[in-house]
Amino acid sequence: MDLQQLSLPLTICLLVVFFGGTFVVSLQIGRKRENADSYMNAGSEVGFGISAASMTATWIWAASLYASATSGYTFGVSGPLHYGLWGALMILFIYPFGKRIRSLAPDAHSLAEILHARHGSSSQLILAGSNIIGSILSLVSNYIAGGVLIAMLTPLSFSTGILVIAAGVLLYTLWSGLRASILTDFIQVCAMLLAVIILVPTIFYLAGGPDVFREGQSNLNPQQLSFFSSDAFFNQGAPYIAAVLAYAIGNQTIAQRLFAVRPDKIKATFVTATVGYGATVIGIGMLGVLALYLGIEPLDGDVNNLVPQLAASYLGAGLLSLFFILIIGAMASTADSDLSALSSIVMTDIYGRNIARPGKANPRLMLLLGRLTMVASTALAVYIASNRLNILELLVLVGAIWGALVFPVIASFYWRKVSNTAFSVAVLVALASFFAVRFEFVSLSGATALLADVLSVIGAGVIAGLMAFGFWGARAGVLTGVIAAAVIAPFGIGFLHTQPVLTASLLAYAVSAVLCVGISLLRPDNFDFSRLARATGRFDVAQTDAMRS
Amino acid sequence: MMSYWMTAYVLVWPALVAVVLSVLVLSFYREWRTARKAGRSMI
Repeated sequence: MDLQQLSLPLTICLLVVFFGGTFVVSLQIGRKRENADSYMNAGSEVGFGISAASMTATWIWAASLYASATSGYTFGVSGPLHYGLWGALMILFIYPFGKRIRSLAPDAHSLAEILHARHGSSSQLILAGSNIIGSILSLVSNYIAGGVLIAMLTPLSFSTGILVIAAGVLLYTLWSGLRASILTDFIQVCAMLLAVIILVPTIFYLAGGPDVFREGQSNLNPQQLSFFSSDAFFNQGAPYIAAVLAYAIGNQTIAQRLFAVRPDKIKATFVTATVGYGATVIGIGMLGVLALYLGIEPLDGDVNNLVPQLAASYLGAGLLSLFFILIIGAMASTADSDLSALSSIVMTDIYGRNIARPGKANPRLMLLLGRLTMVASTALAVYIASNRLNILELLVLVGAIWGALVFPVIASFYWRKVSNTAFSVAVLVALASFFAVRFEFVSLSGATALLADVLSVIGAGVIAGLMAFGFWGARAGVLTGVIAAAVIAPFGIGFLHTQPVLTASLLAYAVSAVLCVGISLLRPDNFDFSRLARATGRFDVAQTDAMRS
Repeated sequence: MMSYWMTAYVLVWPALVAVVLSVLVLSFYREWRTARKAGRSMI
């Protein structure tokens, strides 16, 4: 089947309308109201409509749309559920933690900043460092996805595509930071959701409609036909649950929106983003299921090409333009969030809390540093993306750090006994055990395999327990964790070590939780949580007071 | 019958997206109107 392409004038017109439009919207935020705190948390009084749209837009990135379709193509009918449903539920599961963190430190700018107040610089810099690497990698992934899309659907080259997207995002984010990011997110998410509403049914009917399922059934194996596929659960769902919980807790782009939204709208924002993300990503994943039923082979053997390939095969120029805007919107909304996250980490965690003397941070200098960070991050990400450097190992590193951080971070905001030593040792030992298993430095056989299985079962219990704890408190959390571990143990012990990717993630949770609890009990800190609000206040007090009056 | 359920399974997601989009747009409009009446910015 021939692939449709957008003409050069139409491509330029779409890019100008998209990035020019978002730039004009960002100009609505006047230069007069420039403020270092607002640059990072948008004034902390953002309403439900914008914040829910922004949370949804940030959580949906181009890679998640492609990955959901890949999951549908690989694992069949249950594949998109095992990608999108778990990703969506994690937004829901973290909102109780978000409410707690916001109540402890209402004027904070980043999670790492609160960790600085709670434990000191080492804990803060572990999280801030992982945030920086994570956001740079996210930028790189988005730019590569943009370059590939532009090269496939337009006459422009891969490198030109990367430059256009990077420059377009920087253009509208540079001056107003998070305020520009969340305001433009609203426009972008409306375009993205509208595209999903139109494109998924259209491609479905143009590809053959309901008959596809009858005629293409022979293209699927029994696992791909089942909604309860064990292949899909063990290879997609289970590792993803562990990874995405870590991502939701560790990622500064989510935390930044948590500090921006009005406190009474946190729950509504997270619930709406849960449904919005889930429906969008699973909906696009259905295109992968369709491709499987249709027996389509991905272009160049790369499953990431599936979604653009289907669009280019079945859509005319008008709807293909809408598809183009969908993917560009997904990329831009995540990239501007990453730029805002990076700038706030440098402004707060590096300059404000570590370089400047306490209470003496210069807001003008902070703003300059924030903007320079955006420019430098864009340049670095464009360089890595243009040279197609392999970022897989770095992605694994970030996932491991965040997996090791989840329990110590959450415990630090609820349990006053957690000390800096307990936090740091737990994270570092958990990381070491993750890498030993993930990269097979340790052979999982005999007693080592048994130990890995037992710890993995504990890790699964920790994940289940944390989810219940957020909603129903400590007793329910412990009970759920114990029950989950007891249910998994009979078949997990003797089996889990055969799944090294999953085992490595579960080990990170188990080791960090066991060590954090053990060391905290031996040498408790007895921290006073009321100190957090005082130690994480505003930097630009004069400007903020003037704006509020 | 299987085709019917699979069609519903594919199309339910865009329908859910339509509900979310309408919630977001209506909320945004209400907040924009309130902010305009109060003479302040939304952000």
